[in-house]
Amino acid sequence: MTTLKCEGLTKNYGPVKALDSIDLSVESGRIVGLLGPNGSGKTTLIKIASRLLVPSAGRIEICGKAPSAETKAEVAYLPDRDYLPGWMKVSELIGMYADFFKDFDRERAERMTASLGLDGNMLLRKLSKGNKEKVQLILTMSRRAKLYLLDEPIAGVDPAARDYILDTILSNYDEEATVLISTHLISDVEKVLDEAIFLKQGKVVLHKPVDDVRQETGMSLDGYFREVFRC
Amino acid sequence: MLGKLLKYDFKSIGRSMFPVYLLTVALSVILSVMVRMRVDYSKAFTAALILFVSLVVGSTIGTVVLLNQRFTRGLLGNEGYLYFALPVRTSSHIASKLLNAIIWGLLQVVVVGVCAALMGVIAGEIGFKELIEAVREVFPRIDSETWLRLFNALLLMFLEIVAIVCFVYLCDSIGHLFSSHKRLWTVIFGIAIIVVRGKLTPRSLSFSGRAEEIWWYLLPVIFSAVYLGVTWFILDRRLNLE
Repeated sequence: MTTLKCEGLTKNYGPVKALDSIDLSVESGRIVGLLGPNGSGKTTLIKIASRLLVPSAGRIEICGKAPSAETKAEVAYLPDRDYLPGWMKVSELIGMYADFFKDFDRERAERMTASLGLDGNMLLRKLSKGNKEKVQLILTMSRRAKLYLLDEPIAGVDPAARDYILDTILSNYDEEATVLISTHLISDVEKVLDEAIFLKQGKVVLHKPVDDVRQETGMSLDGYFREVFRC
Repeated sequence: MLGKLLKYDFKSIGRSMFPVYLLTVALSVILSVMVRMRVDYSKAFTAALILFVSLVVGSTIGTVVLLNQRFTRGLLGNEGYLYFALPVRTSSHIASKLLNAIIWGLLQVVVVGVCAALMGVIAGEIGFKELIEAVREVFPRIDSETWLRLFNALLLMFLEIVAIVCFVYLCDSIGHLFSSHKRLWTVIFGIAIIVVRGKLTPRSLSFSGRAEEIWWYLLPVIFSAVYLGVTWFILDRRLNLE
């Protein structure tokens, strides 16, 4: 089943083309790396899929439907910034996700929070940056979504936290779901990816299984990425 | 989903406003007791009076500022990434913010009313019985036309306040369309909309509180609908969270 499909997807910011007529099809049950340097259009694509942006031209479908309030119930989105209200307690945030998302597994979220030693009564603003990111990840990965859109989930955290985040993603996503991870830290995520999409100046320059990339180029994904995007 | 949105919007404002409201009511009681006991601590009394008036004015301004912030931070700021990712229609987001503003506006009126009543009862040494009797005595003297005019004036005030809230939301949304100087654009478009509304409003209208002056009531409703429609279009079709 196709989880994410784009046809001629274009997004212009004034004269700048953030996405330039992208054609893409991602099947279910895959962990896909959306890879590219800063400004290549990764976040724009994820925002359009989350319906936080409307495309300038072309089509995008989530599980066969145009992005809407209905598809948001099937998409678990992790933005690339602090987006949760700092005045809420961790337990209140868990309650809020449970209120709005039918596929939210409250027990799992509470278990993960406890395993991290986080106090549910702590205000989010009192947590360290790393712990805030973990709470965000816990909330996102405690859903049984069909499509996970993770925008730079490991940027700005230490290597130990990166391992925790990747382990959390691997051990919590539904095997029939698709996970799209946007990042430029290729070496850290390479081991978990099934497929890689290279975005360059708003265009897809590669979309292949990671094993094929390694076989065809004789390089690691990270090595090949460095060659493609060499300045 | 609207009820759930409303719950979180209400909580967000309530955490700041409930303590202020409690303090305002408590101060009105303290002041009234000081008046009743003829306490001659003039400096303390003046200070308490200034504090009370500041709290009433401050809580009113605070409510307005917080309601505006709730819209800009909750939908157009970083929290927009959370709220717009919820499986909720854009119209529900706007409705929640508007209802929240109406509820808090009414609560503000209630708090000021409670303070005034407490001060009347405690400082004026009026018993609740006497107060009720006074109300019973005064109310029958008001004829039905005056009641109707009063009701119409309150209704019009309510409609105009709703229109102002919708106007502020529209200005915020327009400002959000610009990549820089968002606040400046918000103000510029706010002034432009006020000018346009002034041009569109018939000058011959004069309000006397009679129900047949239907345009007085229709105008804020029409303007509110237009403001909300454009706000919806911007948030649903032109949303650009940075």
